[in-house]
Amino acid sequence: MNNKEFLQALSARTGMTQKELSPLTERFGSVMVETMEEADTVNAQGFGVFEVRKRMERISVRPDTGERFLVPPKLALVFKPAETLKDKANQSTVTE
Amino acid sequence: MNSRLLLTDISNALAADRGVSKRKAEMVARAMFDVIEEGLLRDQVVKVKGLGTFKLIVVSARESVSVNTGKRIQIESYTKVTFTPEKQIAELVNRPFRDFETVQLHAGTPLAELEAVDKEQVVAAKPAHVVAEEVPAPLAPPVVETPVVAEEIPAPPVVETPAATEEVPAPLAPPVAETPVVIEEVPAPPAPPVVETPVVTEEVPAPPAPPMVETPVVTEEVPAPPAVPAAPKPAPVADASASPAPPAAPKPAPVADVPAPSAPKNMQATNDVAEEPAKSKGWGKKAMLAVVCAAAIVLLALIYYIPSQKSATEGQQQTATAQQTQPKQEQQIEAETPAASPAAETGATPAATPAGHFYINLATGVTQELGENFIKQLQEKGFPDARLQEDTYLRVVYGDFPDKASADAMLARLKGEAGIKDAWVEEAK
Repeated sequence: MNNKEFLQALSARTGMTQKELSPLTERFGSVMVETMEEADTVNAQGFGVFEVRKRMERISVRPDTGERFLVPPKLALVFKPAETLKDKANQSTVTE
Repeated sequence: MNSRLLLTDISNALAADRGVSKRKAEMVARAMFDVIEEGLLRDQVVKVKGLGTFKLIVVSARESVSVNTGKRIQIESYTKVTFTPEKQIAELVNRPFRDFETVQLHAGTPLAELEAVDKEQVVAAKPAHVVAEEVPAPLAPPVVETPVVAEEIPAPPVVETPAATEEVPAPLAPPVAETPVVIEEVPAPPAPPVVETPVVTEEVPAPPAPPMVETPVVTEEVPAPPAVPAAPKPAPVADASASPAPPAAPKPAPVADVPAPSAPKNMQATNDVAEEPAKSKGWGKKAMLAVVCAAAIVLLALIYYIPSQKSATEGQQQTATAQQTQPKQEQQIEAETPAASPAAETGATPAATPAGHFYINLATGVTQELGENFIKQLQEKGFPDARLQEDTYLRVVYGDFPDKASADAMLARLKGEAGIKDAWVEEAK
């Protein structure tokens, strides 16, 4: 499902036009991240949790040359699906 | 940090951002996730512009070994839901760390570089406070600030124990940071906003400071709890400064406490300073400007003084003179010193290697228990000189050799006789 289909489905569900919806959905991610600056997690009930996790710095080695690199730490947005979503996902592929 | 947000919070923010009603925004937000779920179950993939891609990935069945019994077990096939944020979003999340780059560690001097980083971590943990405290003295000539940095560098003899450095200063720093807040907050009301600003300014000058060594510095600084929320968002300055205040207020005692461990003469200095800001009222915007300038200067000073870290004694002398000329600066120094010195004590590695020697790095990032087991195993194999060493990570190192050749020889023996694969020789600083 690409963004276009996504908007179509969303429009069918909300009764809003795709033109109305697209600025909302396109801003959703950045608004979420901006709001998360003071929080760790955002919980979307029944869907999952978005979290900001810190990935520690580490030393990695290029196997072919043996060069060692210090990879800096970074913050990553991770998504943890809710149990219900996991179950549904499992069932959907089992029935295929 | 640490709070949990609900979808409602996000949709409210979205409503404000897009100028639609909260009800509408919430309806859209909820519908979004419903649709994503439907799409996932139908197509296995959903791409949402401005957010990212959700995917269902089938993990096929595989065999594994039960950790408890050692028996082979079958892990059944299952489907996992993955989310890959859009690049733009990933960058937004990572904004506090955006200026870091992967750096190659050169074969000969891996330890040296690590230590260089750690030294600066200690130093870097400070600029924020340094700047915070420089605020009360907008007139403070740049020259005076430099010694401050210099004095911080000697403090890190901690550097011998980078692992501790990383952890210890972090928890220690906040109390230190609070102390100045107390000092400034009480006598000078205009101070609060400025107090937190340094964090922001500290962040801003970071990009123009390209030296590779400099960048990782911020690494540890940024994660310091107050920095992360404050840095990316200049707006919350007011909020941010408000939050340190409450914890500070109930315990004004730390003002005296903090310098205490370092030296008695420092006590006086701090007290002097505590009174000082009372006199200086009514610097508002000027102070803000000064903060920005001070931050830049401190950073410059940092870069400049990094190479001279070795001449720790020199730095101390400079600070000594600086202390006489600028009581306010003293306070910073004092505030810093205790932060660093406990680190030095707690993190001190018992088996510090004397300078100019070589040892073999056997394992990095081990737990205490694993490391001890490893050492025991080596002893049983007839290699008695392994020990734990704490720098950035807890490591198992071996021996202490006067020159690289003998270390290499031992490394070869270890590889041959003890079956060690991934080990290398390092030079102790």
